[in-house]
Amino acid sequence: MKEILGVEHLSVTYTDGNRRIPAVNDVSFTVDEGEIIAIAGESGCGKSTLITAILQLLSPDIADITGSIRLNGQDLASVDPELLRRMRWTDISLVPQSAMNALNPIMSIEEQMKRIMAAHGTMPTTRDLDKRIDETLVMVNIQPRYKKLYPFELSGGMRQRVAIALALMLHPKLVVMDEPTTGLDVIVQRGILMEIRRLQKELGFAVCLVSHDMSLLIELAHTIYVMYAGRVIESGPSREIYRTPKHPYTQGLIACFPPLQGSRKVLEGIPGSPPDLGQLPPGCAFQPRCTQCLDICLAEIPVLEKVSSSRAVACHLYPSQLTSNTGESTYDRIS
Amino acid sequence: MTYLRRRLLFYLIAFWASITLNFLIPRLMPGNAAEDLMMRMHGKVSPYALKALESEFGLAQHTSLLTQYGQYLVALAHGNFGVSITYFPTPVIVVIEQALPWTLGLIGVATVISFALGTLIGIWVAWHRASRWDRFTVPAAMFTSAFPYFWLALIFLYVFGFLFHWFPLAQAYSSSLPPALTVPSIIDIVYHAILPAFTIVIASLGGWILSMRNNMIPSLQEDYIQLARAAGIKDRIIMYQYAARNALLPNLTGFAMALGFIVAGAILTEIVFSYPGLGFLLFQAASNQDYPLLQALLLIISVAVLLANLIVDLLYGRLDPRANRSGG
Repeated sequence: MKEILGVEHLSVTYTDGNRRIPAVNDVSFTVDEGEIIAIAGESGCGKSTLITAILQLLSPDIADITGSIRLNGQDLASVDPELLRRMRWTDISLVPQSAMNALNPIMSIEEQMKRIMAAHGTMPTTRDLDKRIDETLVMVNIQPRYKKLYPFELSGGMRQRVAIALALMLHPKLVVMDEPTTGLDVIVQRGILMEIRRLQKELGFAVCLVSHDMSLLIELAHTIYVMYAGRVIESGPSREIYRTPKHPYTQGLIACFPPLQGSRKVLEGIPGSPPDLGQLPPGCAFQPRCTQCLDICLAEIPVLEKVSSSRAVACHLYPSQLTSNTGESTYDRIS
Repeated sequence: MTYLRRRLLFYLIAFWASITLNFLIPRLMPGNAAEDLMMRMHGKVSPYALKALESEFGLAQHTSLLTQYGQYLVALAHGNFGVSITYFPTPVIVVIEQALPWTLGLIGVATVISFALGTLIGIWVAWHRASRWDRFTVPAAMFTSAFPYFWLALIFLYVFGFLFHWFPLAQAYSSSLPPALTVPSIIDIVYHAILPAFTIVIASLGGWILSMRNNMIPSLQEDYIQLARAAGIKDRIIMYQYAARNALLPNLTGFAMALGFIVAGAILTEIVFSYPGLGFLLFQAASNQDYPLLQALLLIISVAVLLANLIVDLLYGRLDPRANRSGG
């Protein structure tokens, strides 16, 4: 499979006077053609910073960015601004977090779509353009006659569909979706998810999905990266992570959501709240909330290490010398 | 359509309220203009002449308030505001007709220039916020908008008019060159207007810069700006079509108020520069207790405010689709 996006040792540190806030710390992952990867984590874990950095929307005035981002074979750090502008939306597009605010309130849907086409110099004849707009809207199940409407005249679900339509206008190779179903009721969420899955199958774009909703991610994604306090703490195929979560944090995340099928069970939360990125605890960032904390966790930051051919975890419960290549840890959970 | 109709109805009611108040307020005050005139003439007016003056001004006491109101409305419909006391016996309407173009020309043009320039600078400074230009512009704008206007105007008049002789000291045109639509006359009029217009722009520019900058900065943080950037839309288009168009909307209301108060706000400028406009007239009317003129001027001011707001409301309906279509 051809790689679309390659992120290597990416770190983002916000600088505010003398304060330095590490929001993303040494994150690496790749997205191949047609692959769906997911980044999971609570709010404040650095996932939004990660995608703004990937989309090259962070101003160097407020954040130090190290590491490299390769998009379609090109290192984005060395690409000149005009080429980067052209690469936007044709190589990588975005379905933003809240479609409520992500559409320009004083432009009709049609005008917003036309402006995107115009920005990429692909303004065909008016008739072709109209046809393209209609087709894109139909693709996300919106009747073309609604294109004259303004965002405030649409329901939340329709706005989200419009945001997806905007993201797909130029047939991008990779679509970044930042919490694409936040703020929608469960039934509409479901509809949007089905839509995303269907479109992805039809058009074959790769997806980088960001959410705190593990059940959603497990259903859609091939590979999941779980982030905590700016670091990837566990990664692997979604089915495997769902069945045997290794990191105590991942276990907590999965226990937070009811299973889509099967019997009822008591939901557990994760005690405590995400740490302040400016004042991380010593050792493992999850240590104050961890129910399986060891002495070493207070002193040393665990590194992300492979525990099988496809899975990696950053936790002292799974010391690298004890992990065999069978894939399952012999050092089982204490609980 | 409903938006338009609702707005028009509102303005109709507001217009009626303002002409009615304009009728009532002078009549609620003790004394009347005719007695006043008589006092100023030290009793040289005979009671017969007073009677005649009273009926001339429509202040005869023997008619009921309601009849007077009716007469007032009829007179208003005919543009008959009575006779000015200051410029006796010129009708008020003629006095106003002579002054209005000067005020509209000077203060109107200066206000529009100031708003347009301030908005453009505000957009630019917000786009480059925290840059060197931003750091210079914000305190400078605060500094200039803190000047007391009459002081600023006097200093300018003293320095550029009196000391350097760059600009004329007073009036709207040279006495040797009566206003006409000829090139030398127009140049002469513009030459007379530059200094007063400049002081107005200096005094009001800072406010427009700051309010536009402060509207623009939060608007630049909006998700739709971020999305437009991610979509590769060119900076220039994001700046004007996405951010500024949204940020301009709250400023339009302020602009409407400024337009409406062109007539009234001109007082200080026109006094300092002895400019023959409505503000100067208002000052004279107030100091001479020229009720008919005062009443007509106050009416013009309130109508101007209403009209300016109506225009901006209509414009708002075009610029912000939400205003037009939301039913509530």
